[in-house]
Formats: sequence, C-alpha cells, structure tokens
Amino acid sequence: MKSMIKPRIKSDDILIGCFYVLLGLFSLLCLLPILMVISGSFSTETEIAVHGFSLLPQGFSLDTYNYVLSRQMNTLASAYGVTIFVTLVGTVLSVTITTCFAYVVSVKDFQHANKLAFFAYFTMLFSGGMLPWYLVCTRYYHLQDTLWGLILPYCMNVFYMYLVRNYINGIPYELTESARIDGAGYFQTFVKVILPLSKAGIVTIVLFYALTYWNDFYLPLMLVTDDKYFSMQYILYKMNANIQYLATNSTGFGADHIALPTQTVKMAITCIAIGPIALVYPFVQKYFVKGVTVGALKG
Amino acid sequence: MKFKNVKRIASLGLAVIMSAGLMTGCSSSVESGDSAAKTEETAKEEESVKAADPIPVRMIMYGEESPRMKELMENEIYQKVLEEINVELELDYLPWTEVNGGKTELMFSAGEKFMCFTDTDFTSKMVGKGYFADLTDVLEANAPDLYANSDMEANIKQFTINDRIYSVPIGNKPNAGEDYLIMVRKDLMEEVGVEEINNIEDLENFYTLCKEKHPDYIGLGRSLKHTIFNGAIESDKNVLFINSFVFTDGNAEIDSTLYSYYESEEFKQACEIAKRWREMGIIPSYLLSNPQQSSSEFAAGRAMFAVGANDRIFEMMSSLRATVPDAVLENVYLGDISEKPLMTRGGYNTAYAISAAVEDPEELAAYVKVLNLLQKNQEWVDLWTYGIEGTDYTLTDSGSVERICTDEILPSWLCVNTKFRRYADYITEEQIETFNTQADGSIMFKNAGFVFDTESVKTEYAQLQTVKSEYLDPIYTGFKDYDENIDEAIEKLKDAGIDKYVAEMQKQFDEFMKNKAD
Repeated sequence: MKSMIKPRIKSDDILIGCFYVLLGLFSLLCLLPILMVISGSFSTETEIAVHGFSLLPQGFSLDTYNYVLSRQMNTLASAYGVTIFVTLVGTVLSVTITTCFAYVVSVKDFQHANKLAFFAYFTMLFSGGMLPWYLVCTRYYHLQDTLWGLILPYCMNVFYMYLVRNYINGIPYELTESARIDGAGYFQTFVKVILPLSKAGIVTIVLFYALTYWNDFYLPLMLVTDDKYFSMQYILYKMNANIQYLATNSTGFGADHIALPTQTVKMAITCIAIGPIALVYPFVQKYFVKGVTVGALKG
Repeated sequence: MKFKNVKRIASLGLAVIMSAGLMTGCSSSVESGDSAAKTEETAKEEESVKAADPIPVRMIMYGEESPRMKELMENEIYQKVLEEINVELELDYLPWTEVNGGKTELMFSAGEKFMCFTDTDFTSKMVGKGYFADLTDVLEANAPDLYANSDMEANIKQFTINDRIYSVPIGNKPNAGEDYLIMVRKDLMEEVGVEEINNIEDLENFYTLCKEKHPDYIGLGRSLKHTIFNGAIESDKNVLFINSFVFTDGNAEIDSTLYSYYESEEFKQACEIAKRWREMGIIPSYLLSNPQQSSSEFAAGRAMFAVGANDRIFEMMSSLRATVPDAVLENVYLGDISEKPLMTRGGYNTAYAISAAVEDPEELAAYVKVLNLLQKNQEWVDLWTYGIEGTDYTLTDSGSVERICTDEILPSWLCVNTKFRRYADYITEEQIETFNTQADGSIMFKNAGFVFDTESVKTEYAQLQTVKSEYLDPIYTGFKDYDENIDEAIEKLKDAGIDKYVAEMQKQFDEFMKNKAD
C-alpha cells in the first residue's frame, strides 16, 4: 500500500508552496475589512471623521463599547437569545418535519406518496404570493410578535425535502424490506434503518436550515414589531437599511434631518453581533466541514 | 395482540376527545343563547362602559426607537395621552425602507388598523386601492388645534381627492426653496475671506479658495440635484419638477405646458455645470457609486456645501456641530430670486394616513385626536420633541433647550411649527430672521394637489426608470459628457416610451389645471 503513494517531488512542493502563499494572501484580503471594523470600533469618532478607517485604532477608546453596551445591552442580549433559540429549535423542528415527510413520500407501497410529493412540489412552482402568506400568518395563525412566527414559516423547505427523499431512495430497498420481515413497523424502520443510513444527507440539511434561521431577517421584518423578539440579524439589517435609505433618499419625510448612527457605533454593533460566532467558529468548523463532505466519497 | 390493544385504547381516547369537543360546543352555544336573551338594559349598560373604555391607536414610525422613547411610551407619554384623549397609544417602528411601500403597503392591504406617514404620490396610489380611510367627516371636529396652529386649509388640498380628505398634514413651517437652495459652510467662507455668494461663479471661487486651504475637503456633500442650478441657467422658465422626467414653468401660473426634462435645453445647461464641477473636483468621484460616503463627508464637516432647504440648515447644523463645534450654515440661492422666486409645496412637514380598516367613526376620531396632539400647544410639542422637562431637557432663560438626554423622542423635524419652535443657543437672531423671511415672496407649487395616475403608462414608467439610471444619471451628475452621450440616451428614452408618458401626463395635467381654474 505504501509503495502505491508516489513520493512528493520538488515541483509538487513548489506548487503547494504557491498555493499556501496565494491562499494566505487571499485570507489576508478577507480579513482586512474585519480588521478595519474592529479597529473602527475602538477608535474615536472624531479621528474616524478626520482620517477615515485604518488597520490600527486611532485615538484608542472604549467609549463606543461603553455607550453601546450601557444603552443597548438588553436589546442585544435578548436578540442573541432569540437568534440562538430560533436557530436551535427551528433547525430541530425543520429537520424532523422534513425527514419525516421525505420518508413518507419515499415509501414505495404507500399509495398516496406521489400525491403528497406533488402537493409539496406544487408550492415550488406556484407561490401563493406575499399578501396571502402574510394574511395566513397574521390573521389565521396569529404569528405576529411570537417566537413561533420566526420558526414555523421556514419549517419545511421543499427543496431540502427532495434532497433527503432522493437520499433515502438511494438506500437499497432490500434493507427496509428485511427490516419489515423482521417485524419492524414504518416508524421503527424509519428510526432504526433510514435515519442512520441518511446521516450524511441529514447533516447537510441541518447545516442549511441552521444557516437559514441564523441569517434570517425577513420573518422578524414581516411578523415582529415587539423588540423582545428581534433577532441579531434583524437589528443589523434595520441599522443598515435605515442608513442606506436615508443616504439615497435625502428629501423624503424630513429624512435630511435624521442623525445616522455614528461610524464607531455601527462598527461596535457589528463586532458585538459577529464576535461570539467568530470566536466559536474555529472550534466547530470541523463539524461543518465534516457535515458537508461526509458521504462525498462513495464506493 | 399487543398492537390491537393499542388500537383499541387509541380509538377510545379519540372517542373521549370527540365527545368532550361536542360537549364544549354545546355548552358554548347554550351560553350564546343566554347572551342573546340578555335584557336591552344590560346591553345598554355594557355599551356605556364600552364607550368609556380607552380606544387603542397604533402609530407606525420609521427608523429606530430610542431607549428613552421606549421608556416614555410605556410610562409618561402613554399616560398623558390616555388622560387627555382616552386613547391607548402604541408606537411600532419599521425600517425606513418600508415607508410608502414594502411592509407598510402589505399592512394596509391586509386590513390592519394603524396610521403612518404618507406623501401625495402614495396617497393617490393607496386611495385608488381603497386602503386609506376617508377623513372628511372627522377631521375638523377632532383636530381643532391642527387647524388653529397650521394652515390646514391650504395643506389638506394636496391630500384631497374628489373632494374627500385622505391624509392629515402635520407641521407649520416655510418650505420654500426646498432643494433649490444651497447650504454653504459660513465658517469656511469666513476662513477664506469670502463674504457673499450670489451666483455660481462666487460658489466656484469659494471652492477654489477653500480647496487650497483644505485639500482633503470635497465641494458638494450629500447628493446632487439639478434644482440648485435653477437660478444659474439661462432659461426663462422657473423649473418646477413634476417628477424627474417632466417639469413645468413654475412662474406661469395658468399655463399647463409640460416639458420633457432630459430633452430640454435646461437639462443641457445643468449637465454642463455638473460636468465642470466634476472636473474641478467639486463633485466627488464616488458620488454615483457611493452616495453614502458623500453624506458622511458632509456630516463629518469635510464638505463645503450641500443641497439645502430653508429649514434644513438648523437641523444640519445641530448634527454637524457634533464634529465641528463652530460650524455655521447659510442658505444661498444661485440666481436672481426676483426673476425665479422660490417655490413651496405648502407649510407641512409630513402627513399621516389612517388605514381604511379603521371603520368605526369613534375609533377614527381617536386616531385623528392623536394627530391633533402632535400640534396641540407648546407643552405637547415639547413633550413629543424633547421629552419631560427637568428629566430630558431644561429651558434656558432665552427659551432655548438644553438636552439632558439626547435620545430622539419623536423625530425632531416631525412636530416643527414656527409657533412653538425652540432654537438652539448658537442660532443667531439674524439667522432666525433670515429663516422667517426667506420664504417671503415665494410662490406655491402650481402642481400642488396634482397626482399623476400612472396606471395607463406603468410599463413605460418602469422602462424609463431603467434608462434613467443606466444612461441619464451619469450625464446628470457630470460623469459622462452631455454632447457625446445624450443622443444615445434620448434614443433609449424614446424607445422606452417617453413621448407616450409625457403625453399622458400632459392630458391629466391639463384637466387638473382646468379644474383648478374653475
């Protein structure tokens, strides 16, 4: 076995070295804006106004953090709580519903499987439109200003359902058949045979769902006005949306007179928003990578 | 065997649940039967109690709610409104991107009960769809202070469609010359020895002198609007824009002729100035790609002037002084004001519309009463603008405000009324005098109250917008040469249907002017 691996030659080393340098430079390029954000958050407003942004803080000051944390600590802490709760509960719920649906429509001897699959597929082709969606969410399900409003509308993504269904369809039928012969019901087959064998597919949609919930600002925008249900992304979205609107629509509604958040405050809120995730990410990234690549090499 | 037992238990359980459901249904119908049998007297009693109940009113604001405002809305302001007009006021905030569309429109179409900002275009659009409440019968009776403290008769004309009032204008201040004036940094003028700016040459000279002293400053901060060149171009028309594509002569009171702006001589001259400004560096290189940067430069005190308005300088000075404590702004007009007088859209700051879902007259009256409080008297205007005296601000001997808490209560521009206005300490009597008299001799927009129904040309309008941003904006801002690029741009405009668009607007405007004359 060992003899089959070709020893590395000098040109390989050079190539690998080049890749390291290129990737290193690219990483630095990606890091630059983040460094500027961090540096900006530790600078004084006047220095930023006079000299612009730089890699190192100008007139180092913790005043901005003091200001933001003393005034918005509760909102930010609550927004973090909401985002984490919605991501965890939403992901678990969505994955459960999606995999269950996917299994049901993949069962070969279930006569309504195709009808159910079409029922789901139809929503991919024709959307009800925003107004009916909003009416259903607000008037019938009363999802405004509730945590469920941030979870339920995303509970089943049909595309992900088809992804899992195709994965399940790839599992040899003989395996489920033998489980049935051994006396397992549908539920037992699902839990003990299908789920363990579909792990790779499920991990993928876990990642997708988690990212959807984490990055979502649309549902809070549509369904939430009470700030105790604001998510972190919505707070950031709101801040940017306000700034962009006011910068490009200077004459509407006395918009000229509205004081925009100062540069340092914007930077500090961005740091607080991305900080914990940036700190945790290096420790969990191996699981993300594993999740995406598991099952990628088969046979 | 085991499975069968489970089935039996499950069936039994379901049967129990169903029976319980039926019983509940019966009991509620019995109850409703009871309630139907209530005596008329009891019903009347209940009604009188109901009448005394506070009426909930939901007001949508845009932007961010400050922590202090949140606190006040839970305590003092909430309580004061409740005591004054028996209304439970709730304030909800949406991002500015949702104003006049987006979620706001969705909420109107979903039949939610609320009120929010509007303007003439949005009012026309929403009234057409039946989303705005008709306020004709409730406005005057429930908003006496709005009528007493502002020129409501003139202001509501712009929100009256087929003799029915659909929005409530708020505020009272001279708005003459909005975007036709330039607010110049007076402190920089003094620094470089420029005493007066009366025309475009003076302004360019000021820029050159100032640039020598402050090479890192830009000339024009914020965005560019051709309206500021109105007095500087050689034209016998006082250019009054109906929208970015069409203008009329603001001086010709009874003439209803409309002109296609991008095909006009006025546009050509304005573009030539813009091109020169771009080459001189007055217009920064990033104005098109990053307008936000240009606004930031002005706010940071690194721009020499910006498009102004009569009233705008006070608010802008207040924010500018956070960075440049000695900054002073002054409005200038590039031209002869006697030939092309300033024009005004009316004396209001903004307007509120109430959702058509608020049908009950008493409820509708409650909404109007809340709007009345925005301009009721000095005490209420101070409350909405500064908060609680002693806690959020104190008054100096001269009557100006010293803020203890700098959080925004309601946006400071919202309740501005010259009757109740408090100026900052650094505003001189001369500036106030200029502010009060600058609008003297101004003329009313002759299109005030005209709302263009775009329904029959909506495809053309959408295409024109695309052509504008792709071909015309770079010429407009001086980034592309007029002579070299205008032919292609006009050709694209023609293809997009500018002729049909202008003809349709002309038809509607002729009718509007005819009705106005009648």
